Amino acid sequence: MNPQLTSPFLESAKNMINQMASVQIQESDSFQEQQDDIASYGVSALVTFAGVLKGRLLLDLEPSLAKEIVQQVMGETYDDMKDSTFMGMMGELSNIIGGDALTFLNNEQSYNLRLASPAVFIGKEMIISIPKIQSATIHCTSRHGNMRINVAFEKGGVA
Amino acid sequence: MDVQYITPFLDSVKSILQQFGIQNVTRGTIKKKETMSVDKDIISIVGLVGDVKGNVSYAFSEATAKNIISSMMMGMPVEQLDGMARSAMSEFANMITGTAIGSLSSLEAVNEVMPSPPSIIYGKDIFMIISPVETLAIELETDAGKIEVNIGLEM
Amino acid sequence: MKRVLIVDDSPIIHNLLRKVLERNGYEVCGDAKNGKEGVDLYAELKPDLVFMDITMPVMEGIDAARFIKEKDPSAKIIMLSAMGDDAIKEEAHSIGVDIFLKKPFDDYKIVSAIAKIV
Repeated sequence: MNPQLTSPFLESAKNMINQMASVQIQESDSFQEQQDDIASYGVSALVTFAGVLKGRLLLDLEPSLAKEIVQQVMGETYDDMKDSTFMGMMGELSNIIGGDALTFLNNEQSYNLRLASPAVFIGKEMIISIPKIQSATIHCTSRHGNMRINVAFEKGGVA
Repeated sequence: MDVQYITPFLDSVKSILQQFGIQNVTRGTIKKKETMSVDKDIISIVGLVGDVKGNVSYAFSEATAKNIISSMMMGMPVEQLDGMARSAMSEFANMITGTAIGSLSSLEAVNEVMPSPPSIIYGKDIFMIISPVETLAIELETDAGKIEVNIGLEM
Repeated sequence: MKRVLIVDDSPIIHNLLRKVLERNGYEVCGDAKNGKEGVDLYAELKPDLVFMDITMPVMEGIDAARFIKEKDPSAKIIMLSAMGDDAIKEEAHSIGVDIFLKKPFDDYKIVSAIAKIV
């Protein structure tokens, strides 16, 4: 997939997570085409967007990293990830990262992309399958755990 | 949320299941939820943009999913949710959404509805929220098992 | 004490923004979870300042801000959105929105924005 479409999501994830939670994340590879279903780290936030193009952002985090981010932002510790504040915060994180990346893409390319409501999933041995859409994944590490960013655009992002 | 936006999603589940020979589909209770939360093994979720905005999800237990997939594959037994079973599940989600959008488009206020491709989440004890839209949860009793339909539309 | 109305569909943002405002000496006089509630609460509460999200159910923030400005041209509105591209900013500016902030936010961002207009 066109790196001009994927790289803003990595930059936004790094910047927003650092600004909001003072957590540094670092990519450990580059965006690769996602061939198979994704075996989740445990916490997934998914937000779709549409405009000139249609697509979807998936943030998938290890629980330790998700908990650190929520704790830094909210100033409280959440042991139960099913807590509505914990899950709401993960939704807000994907909203802010997605919004930042779309702001950049809209300014560069006039795509007029808008976000829909985020969905957040937690569970054991979760597998996430997004059929019939091209997507690319990049893996990131941090002191508090790993995450991956998966970006999908219908038709590979060709308007 | 206006019932005219909800009926198409329930009707489409029924008509698709019946295409695969699962005849009995009855509507259970409708519950209002603050957030779209489910505790099931498999969730298929579709986002909508355009004149109808929001998210619709269909959730079922592993046993129900296997029954549905088996019916889709002419009664072939389904031992586990492997790649082929998952692909069938995606197709099921696509069919439901496509049919529902077809009926929605016949509403006067609806000119264009664009579905995002369905995402399907498999696992154990999956917990999901769609923040922050108020959601309606409808249980469908079917010959294949229970299906929980969650509808969170921004209207 | 200046009274502030928060209009946002996310309870998380209400919670975080309220903390920032209260520890800096502002009173949150109302919480609205969509644009329509925001318009109604504005008329009822007459706050000194409104923080307005953009993407919300029922009525979006740009429309809500337009309604509020039409009824009360002196209304002070700060847009606070996850999106902030030039087209949206221009639209907000054209209806008389005073300041446009992009999420996330911290104390400095909020307090310095308020200082500019109140």
